[in-house]
Amino acid sequence: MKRLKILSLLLVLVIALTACAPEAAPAADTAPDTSEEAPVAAAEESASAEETAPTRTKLVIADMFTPEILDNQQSFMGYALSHGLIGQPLLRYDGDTGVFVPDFVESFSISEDGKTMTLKLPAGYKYSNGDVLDAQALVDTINRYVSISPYSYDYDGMESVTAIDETTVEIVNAIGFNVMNPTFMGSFGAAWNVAVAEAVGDEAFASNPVGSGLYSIKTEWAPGQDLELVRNDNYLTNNPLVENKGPAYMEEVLVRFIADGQTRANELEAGSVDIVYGLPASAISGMESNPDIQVFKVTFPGQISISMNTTKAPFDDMAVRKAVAMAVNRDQLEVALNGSVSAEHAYVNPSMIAYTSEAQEYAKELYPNDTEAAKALLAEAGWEDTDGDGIVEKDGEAFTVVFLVDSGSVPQTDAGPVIQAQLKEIGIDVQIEQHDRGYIREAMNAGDYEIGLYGYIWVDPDILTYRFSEGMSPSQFAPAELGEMLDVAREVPDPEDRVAAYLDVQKYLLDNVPMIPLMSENLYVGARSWVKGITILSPDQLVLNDVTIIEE
Amino acid sequence: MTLLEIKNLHLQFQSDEGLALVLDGINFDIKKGETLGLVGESGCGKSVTGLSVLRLIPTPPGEITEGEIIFEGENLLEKSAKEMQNIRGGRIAMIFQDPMVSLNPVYTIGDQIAEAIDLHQPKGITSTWDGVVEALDSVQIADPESRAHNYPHQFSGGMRQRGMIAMMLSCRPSLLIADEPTTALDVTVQAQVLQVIADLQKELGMAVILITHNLGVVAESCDRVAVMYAGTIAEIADVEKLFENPKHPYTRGLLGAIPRADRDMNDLAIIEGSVPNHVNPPKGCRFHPRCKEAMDICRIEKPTDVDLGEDHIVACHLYG
Amino acid sequence: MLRYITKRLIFSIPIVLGVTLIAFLILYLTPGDPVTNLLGSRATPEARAELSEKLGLDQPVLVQYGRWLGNVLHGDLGTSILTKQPVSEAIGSRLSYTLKLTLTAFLSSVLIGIPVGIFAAAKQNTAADHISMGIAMFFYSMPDFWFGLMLILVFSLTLQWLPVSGAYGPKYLILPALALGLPKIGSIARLMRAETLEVMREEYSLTARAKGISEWLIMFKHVLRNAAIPVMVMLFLALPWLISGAVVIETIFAWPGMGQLMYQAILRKDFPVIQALLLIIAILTVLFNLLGDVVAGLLDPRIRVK
Ligand SMILES: Nc1ncnc2c1ncn2[C@@H]1O[C@H](COP(=O)(O)OP(=O)(O)OP(=O)(O)O)[C@@H](O)[C@H]1O
Ligand code: SF4
Ligand SMILES: [Mg+2]
Repeated sequence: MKRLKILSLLLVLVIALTACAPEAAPAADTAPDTSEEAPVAAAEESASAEETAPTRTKLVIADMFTPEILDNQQSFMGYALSHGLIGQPLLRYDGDTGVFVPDFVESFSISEDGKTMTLKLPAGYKYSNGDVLDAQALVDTINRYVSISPYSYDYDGMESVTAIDETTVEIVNAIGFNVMNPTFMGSFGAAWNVAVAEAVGDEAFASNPVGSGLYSIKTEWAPGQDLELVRNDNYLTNNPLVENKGPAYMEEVLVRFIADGQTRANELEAGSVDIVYGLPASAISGMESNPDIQVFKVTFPGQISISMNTTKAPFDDMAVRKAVAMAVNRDQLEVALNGSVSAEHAYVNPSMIAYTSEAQEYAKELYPNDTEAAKALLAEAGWEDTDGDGIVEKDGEAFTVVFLVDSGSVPQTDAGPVIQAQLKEIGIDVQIEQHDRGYIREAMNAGDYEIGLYGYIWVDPDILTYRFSEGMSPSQFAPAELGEMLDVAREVPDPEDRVAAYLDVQKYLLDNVPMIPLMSENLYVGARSWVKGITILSPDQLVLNDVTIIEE
Repeated sequence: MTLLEIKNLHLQFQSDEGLALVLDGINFDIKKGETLGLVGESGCGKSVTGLSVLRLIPTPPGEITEGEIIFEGENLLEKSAKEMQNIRGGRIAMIFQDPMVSLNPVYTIGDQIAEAIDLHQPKGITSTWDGVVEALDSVQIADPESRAHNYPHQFSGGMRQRGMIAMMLSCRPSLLIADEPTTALDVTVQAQVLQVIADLQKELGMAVILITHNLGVVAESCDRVAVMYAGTIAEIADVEKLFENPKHPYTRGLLGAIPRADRDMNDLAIIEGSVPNHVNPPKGCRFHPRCKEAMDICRIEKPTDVDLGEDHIVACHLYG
Repeated sequence: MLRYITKRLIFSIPIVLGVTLIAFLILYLTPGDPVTNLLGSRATPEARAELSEKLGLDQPVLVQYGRWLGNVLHGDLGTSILTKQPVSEAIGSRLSYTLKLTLTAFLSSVLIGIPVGIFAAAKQNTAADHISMGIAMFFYSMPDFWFGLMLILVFSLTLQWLPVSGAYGPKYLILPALALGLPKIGSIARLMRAETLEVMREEYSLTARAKGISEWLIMFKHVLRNAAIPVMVMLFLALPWLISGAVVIETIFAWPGMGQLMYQAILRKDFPVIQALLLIIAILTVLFNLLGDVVAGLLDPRIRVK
């Protein structure tokens, strides 16, 4: 009997424990059960019966990236959608014209020598919490970035940042602004309320920061939870790329972090989510034919390339590298990867600053996909299949190499076998080894490998400075000549001159092929057709200024 | 006065090899207060006979296809499940060979006895607990009050079997079926357990069917004895008569091979040849392949029970 | 009993410490540290060194382990590299979600699986037995994520009765708990049936029958009490699963529990979080092992005395 009592006690304890577990944080009334709210708004508007009348005021977004924190100045995370909704970039980049345009700032100008930038702020502007956002506040925020951000090297070369008057900030940078601008055009460089950060402490601010973006945090957020945002009524923009320069039309936004691609696709299909950031390639073909769903494709800047160790046999031989470049068939890759990647021939892709198709043409001409030519190049270098096993040999040694692939990257793991088969055709035997990204970076930077895939995402071609400098070059390729070209290109103030400078860099790289550009990753954004006015400037820039929901 | 009468009982089991006719028309009876020994080689059907009486044959695979089991004037085969529950443990009790596994390990001995008492509410007991203590006391367990709180594993083998007897007899049944109650026990405690049964039998006036291999036990404890062979009863007689004047060739072989009566039948390959299987038993007399006196008719026709007088019954064509 | 428990607890301390030390060594000695993962492709060697120093990763492994252990003994599990949250807070806020999900799945699979197993055993070899065991076998052999996808397809996308994912109220719990519970129902029902049949074949069940006890009472008093022992022990041994067993299902249903925390922590090498999770799982495993033994002892007097 006693035993039974103890047992039942245990049971009660277990039940009690579960009953005491805190309730689901988002209360039931905030459920993204959008269908219930719609009729109310619709009823109000029904009198005017206008077709363009918004029918809902709350937007639900499913994001593939779960931000670790929301303060972009402390965050390690690029491409966090939520950061961009809370923070307001100083500038935007207009990919169509290749120029920077204002967003938070009213206007900006760069001096003739390219070293001084003057930012003109809107007068009387406020953070979302009502705090003054004047020139001094912006100076504070830039200083905080330098002192606190893990990416403070974004502001390398900055000599001073000064509030000239209430609405004017002057920044002096010895290397110009090409390195700073990518930060200014995203939420990393946005104005984050330093006064609040100092008052509550950086740790508290990390999860619940204050900015001047389109939205602000509605209910206190904790990592791992979904994010509830409310419209920032203090918001104004000078962004020429949007029509609505005032506060957003949608009153509230719920950002749900859904790691699983199929689940995001399901939510969109079920209509319980309005916009999905990151649709899996497998779901796209079905959705493109669905009239209730619109699909946008955005290409990430940067690329995935084949990196070869130029200091070690067999890839120290340029002829061998060129043979590999000709053996690669990118169209095949695109198909095999379901359109989740786009073929890339040169080092600066169309989503990057200073892109030019001229580099792509140059590359295609230099390295057409030509197996026979590739074989001939190999033969020239002494690699020939003498024993008829399909693998080329040189001095009795078969051409067998280990090919490193990042186990955490789907495009890379998918592309591995495709490239393996393509290289097999010219007699190169590739052994794929999957490893953690950190392991691969370390091995490549140390020159302790033969060949593999290397991926990076960055919007400015200055990324090449890193890729081809001593100690950080996966291909172990950093000739002084190239270094000088990159240093020049980095500081060229005029956009057109910059394009030309990077064209030269790209040609130089293509001639030497330490890395073979392969593909860039695509982001698919899906939305219900009832969401109108979506603008996507880049994978991290979902612009909601003009968004309304009009259900039929 | 006849307490139990088994008439023409047929029992079959559905097995992988086919239909096994495990009891092929057995007949015997037992009087009030009497002790009947049931002997025979392993597998001949002693246990299933006992289980049949209590209708504890697992069905399927077993099935009683024919016959009657008349207990105190009523055919048990016609009883409802509920009525059988009242009879089991109340009027007919059964104990098993291995006391190590026949008591539930997770309940105390007292609990298990109390369960039987609560179920059958025997007369003359003031309270369940008194009944428990009394029952343990009656099987000579010292300090029954505290021993009742023990679990089976805290008892020795002999004590467990006595506990089992206490439990089964706590409701004062009129028939006890004891299926090899001492086989699994140390030689030293066997006699003690048999004595306990004999004492209680006298006290309660109940009849006992004692299933055993041991002819010594039979000689000592039984009034009458039935010899079984391969699902049939070969011979039934008073103990003295059977030992002095066995009639059936099988019984004769048994006793001839065992000069001293205290030997266990299973110790010796008593009679040449092996026990027939029940799926394809020999035609006619099931014993004929091993019988030295077999005749032509034995291979064709099943012998019927022949009453030689004075309750000496034998099933053999020699006496037809 | 109490002495036994104390003894077992004391003996388990070195086990837990050993597990954490091994985990620590594996984490730190395999190539690829948090810094590389965090800073991305533009990280200069200086930036990496600076962050390494800030995170204390530049110290020798054993020094780091010692420091970590010291902090743990003072009740400090450290701070997440990623979220800057105290690890205990990060785990706490998600643990309740995971427990809610796994306990619902666990309890309902116990409440369904055990009766089904008993029922099938009682009806052994009948059509009812074959059908229920056929279903159980199917549940048991399909992985939980398969159920997850199927349930979403049927109940969320086709019938539109239940939400696809999220955690905004009771109805959001149904599908993930089902997906997680169905395979468990299968395994529990099968185990319960097997154990019940085994006990039914024991001679003490025959004894109970010979006493005149009804089949119903035999099943519930004599058989189940014995059959429950190995089943209970198995269930207790499976309990640490409550913390870690739902990673895949949590991902499919966007359930904000430990799964995502664990996944992100491992993916992005958030060492303090990984260490804390391993520590907790090691402790729970030891505790529930012990608890399983204690429960077996409570149910089975033979074990208790030893
Ligand atoms: N549950 C069952 N299923 C199938 N066959 C059975 C079953 N129980 C008994 N039998 C068969 O019935 C026959 C008689 O068995 P029983 O147990 O009565 O023998 P026994 O004379 O008691 O032998 P022992 O001296 O070994 O106890 C045997 O052939 C046995 O295989
Ligand atoms: S009937 Fe025939 S075979 Fe059977 S025992 Fe008698 S003599 Fe032997
Ligand atoms: Mg037997």
